[in-house]
Amino acid sequence: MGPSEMTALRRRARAAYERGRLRLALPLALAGAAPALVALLTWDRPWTTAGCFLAVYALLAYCLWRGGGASRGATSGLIAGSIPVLALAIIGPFGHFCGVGGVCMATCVPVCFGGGVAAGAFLAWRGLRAQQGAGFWIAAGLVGAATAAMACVPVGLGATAGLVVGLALAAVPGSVIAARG
Amino acid sequence: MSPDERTQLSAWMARLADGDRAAFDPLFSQLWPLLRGFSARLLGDPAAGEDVAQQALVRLFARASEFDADRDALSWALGITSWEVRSWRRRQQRCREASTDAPPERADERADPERAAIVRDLDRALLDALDQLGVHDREALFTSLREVRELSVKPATLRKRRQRALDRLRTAWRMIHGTE
Repeated sequence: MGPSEMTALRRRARAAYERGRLRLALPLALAGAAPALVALLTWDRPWTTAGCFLAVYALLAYCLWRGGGASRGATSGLIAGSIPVLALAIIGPFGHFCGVGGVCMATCVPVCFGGGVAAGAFLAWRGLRAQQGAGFWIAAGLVGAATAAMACVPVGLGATAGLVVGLALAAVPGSVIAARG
Repeated sequence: MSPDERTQLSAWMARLADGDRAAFDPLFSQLWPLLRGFSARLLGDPAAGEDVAQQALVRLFARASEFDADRDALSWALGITSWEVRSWRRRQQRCREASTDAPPERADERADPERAAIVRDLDRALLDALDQLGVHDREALFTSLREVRELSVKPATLRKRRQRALDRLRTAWRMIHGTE
């Protein structure tokens, strides 16, 4: 076998490898449909949920195809992002709560903020435990935020901002520690 | 292959399964001679062995992401190769069977002028005999030859008409040519 044939074989093998990874990633990325379904049942905003789901699907598929830290980060991000989605599905129907002195506020904004903190803490725990690199943190942050957005974007800008702040508060210190460590 | 090389191969395969593309080149360089030698030994034919090893290598890399890091990469790779060898043997067997089952090729009539002349005479004789038949008989014969389904006529009626037309064609043939 000559050098050109060898190069051609190497190229074929590499293409087959990439195709194999894609074949594995595309169906696995459909896992993003689970939080999308919960968000759809909670808010009945099909277009917003569909948009967020498409973003989650594309991110997940890319990260799973890429592999390594990005793949682990995307999986963790999906789990973490599902926390605010589930929390809103459970607490959201109560509408609002009233504190001392009769001050009432909607539950959704604090739930999104609290869910974001919980998701960020989960990511920090996962990332620090396995000493993950930048790929993990970027993928986890993006997929986590996109997944949680399925529930918080329909609530409004306040809830979305709360989610992002909560997520960043918990996850950024973790990623910084991991980068120094 | 030494135990160290074998462990190294498994480590590379695990890295590739995890998505580390840097493990591709060393793995390719290590696996190609191994698979080529293995399939050539199994088939007893270096050329066929190389073809099968190429297919096995492409198949192996297509499934690299499914590799379980706890397994031995060499056994896994040789398992895929032996499957390819078996498939190749089955294909060869089927080809041999197909070539022995196939009917002998028809002689080229253009290459044999005597045979071509006989065919032409028979065609002319058949047309003469068909001229003796009525329109309905000819229609019945052409319909059955072309497998045309006449929806207005029942299949049983069509069969009867065809049978009658064939009987008349035989009679006409006997009258013209004096033989069956």
